[in-house]
Amino acid sequence: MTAASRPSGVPTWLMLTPAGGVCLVLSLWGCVAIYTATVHMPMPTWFAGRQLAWIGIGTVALLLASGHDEGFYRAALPWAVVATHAALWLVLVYGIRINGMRGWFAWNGLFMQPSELAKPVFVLSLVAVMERTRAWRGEWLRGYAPALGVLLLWTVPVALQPDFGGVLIYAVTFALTYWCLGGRLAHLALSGLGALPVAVLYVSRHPYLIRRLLGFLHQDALAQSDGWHLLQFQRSLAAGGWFGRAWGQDLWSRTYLPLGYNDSIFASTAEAVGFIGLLPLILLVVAWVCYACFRAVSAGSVFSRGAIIGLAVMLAAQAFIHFSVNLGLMPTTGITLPLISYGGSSLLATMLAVGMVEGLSRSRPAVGGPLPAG
Amino acid sequence: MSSSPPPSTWPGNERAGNSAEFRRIILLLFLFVLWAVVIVARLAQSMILRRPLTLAAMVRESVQEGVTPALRGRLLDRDGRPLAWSTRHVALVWEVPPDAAVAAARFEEIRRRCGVLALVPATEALGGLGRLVTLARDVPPEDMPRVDTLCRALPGLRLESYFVRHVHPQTTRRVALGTVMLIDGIEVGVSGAEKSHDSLLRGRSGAYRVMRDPSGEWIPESWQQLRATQPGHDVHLPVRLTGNSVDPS
Repeated sequence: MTAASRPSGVPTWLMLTPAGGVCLVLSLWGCVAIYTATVHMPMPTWFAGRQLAWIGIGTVALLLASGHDEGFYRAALPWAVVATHAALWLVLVYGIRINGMRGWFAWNGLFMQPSELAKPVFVLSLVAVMERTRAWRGEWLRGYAPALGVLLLWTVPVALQPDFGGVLIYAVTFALTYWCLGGRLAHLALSGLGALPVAVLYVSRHPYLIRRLLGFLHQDALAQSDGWHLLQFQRSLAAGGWFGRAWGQDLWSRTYLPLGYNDSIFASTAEAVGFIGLLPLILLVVAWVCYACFRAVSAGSVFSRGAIIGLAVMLAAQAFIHFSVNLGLMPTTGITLPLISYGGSSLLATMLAVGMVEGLSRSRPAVGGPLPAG
Repeated sequence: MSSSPPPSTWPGNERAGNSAEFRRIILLLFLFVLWAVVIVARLAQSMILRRPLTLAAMVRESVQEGVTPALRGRLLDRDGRPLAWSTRHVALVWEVPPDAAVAAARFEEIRRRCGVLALVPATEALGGLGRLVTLARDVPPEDMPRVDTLCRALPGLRLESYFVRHVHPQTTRRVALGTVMLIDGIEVGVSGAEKSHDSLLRGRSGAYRVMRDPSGEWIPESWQQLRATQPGHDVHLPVRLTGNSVDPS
């Protein structure tokens, strides 16, 4: 039985913690990166201006989320699950297609990607299910299957868009969170093997995935075709050198690198700020994981601990996968860099997640209540 | 299920109830640190170690260097009256697309946006599919800004300068003056006084470097002058332009 939680007593409107502050500063820095990557376009302030508006919305969401505790999230979870899951299926019917993926709702120029906003809800629902099945953690049917069911429930509609990058983030988040909360590696390994034929079938039905894979495996031979994007990553990185070429002087990435404001923002920023300028970004992600681990260990309940770990892993894994793709360590996946890449839904989901970590971190067990069971 | 005591060494009021979970959280942190190390190593490899080779390939494929011809000096008579001189003109040239339908559509758009600027007929423009064609031999200075904007907006279109050598209409001893030929855009004296004094008249060409985009178009903000042009020197010939002839003095 988990311990009951209560708020820590700090007014909700004062909840911008250091983590939230760093979040805000990083997103503003991302705005600058987006602007320099798009300044040559016919409407140079279009992307950065919209991102700035989303930063405002995201900051409000962060403040509100950090002002609520575990009790609120537990109570709101069923409604959030229904709403986000319905949105994931409705977008397949009523959504618009961009770059071959039907993953956005559009209303009068406003775009919303439900798979991004569903990520924090996925983490909470996964942790809630794992909390209930904690006693049978080592068992396939009663311990692992319910958690796997949550993963499938979220990833099937995302895979149908098709959004391979989104599925990857969900899967990595699931695997790391499950394992951290005491799950068995054997369960993950065997279900991974079992999913292999499904993955092969999925890839075979989407030729663009095969081309991306071939471009990654034969980068030199296919440099002028399927490996073009990876080649431009390398060249944009090389153009940066130690200290970069300064904002606005990143000619190579602006001219040759596709999607420099979004999927390739790490490489396009590399040309501007150089190796020295990128190191703090990587260290920040590691610092975020450290911070979340510390918060998780200090958390008042299994639910809070699991949710903090899951949300932290979700953001950190997404960031590191983005870095890895831009560095040519992984095939191109269309995964954005949280807080930095252009994308309102991703920004909102990220700030929401950070706020939720802050709110859950403040939850404390009720006086006289039992400590979390081992 | 019996509860196990929380780890006593972890600071703070709340502790991870499960020491196995605590260890896994630490291992998770270690995993991300390891991943970060790999990322930083790869970053250093791409941005520092392999940089010279990568930059060399980038320059080979995208950077173009060229010369800017200098204005040729004048041939003057004893009294300083010009016998031969060069003028710079600007032509509008177009890299005609190899596809006829695309070329026709583009030419129509160019003609519509050029306004009153006189262009060559469509038959002449579209007769050179896949080649460089001159659309207007002499763009007036007042039209230059507008045409320059058009060149930035439409692919394959650009302004190119060239020289025309003029000889004084009253000069009867043109053979003695000589002639010039355009070689790689530079006027070179090939006979007579033009050839004798070519090294003085030619001046020194400038040099530039510019980056091209994937379609081969120049990126204007990358244009860099490597060396300034030095116009040619004027040369005084021992003749005098009098009346209808040029007489030796």
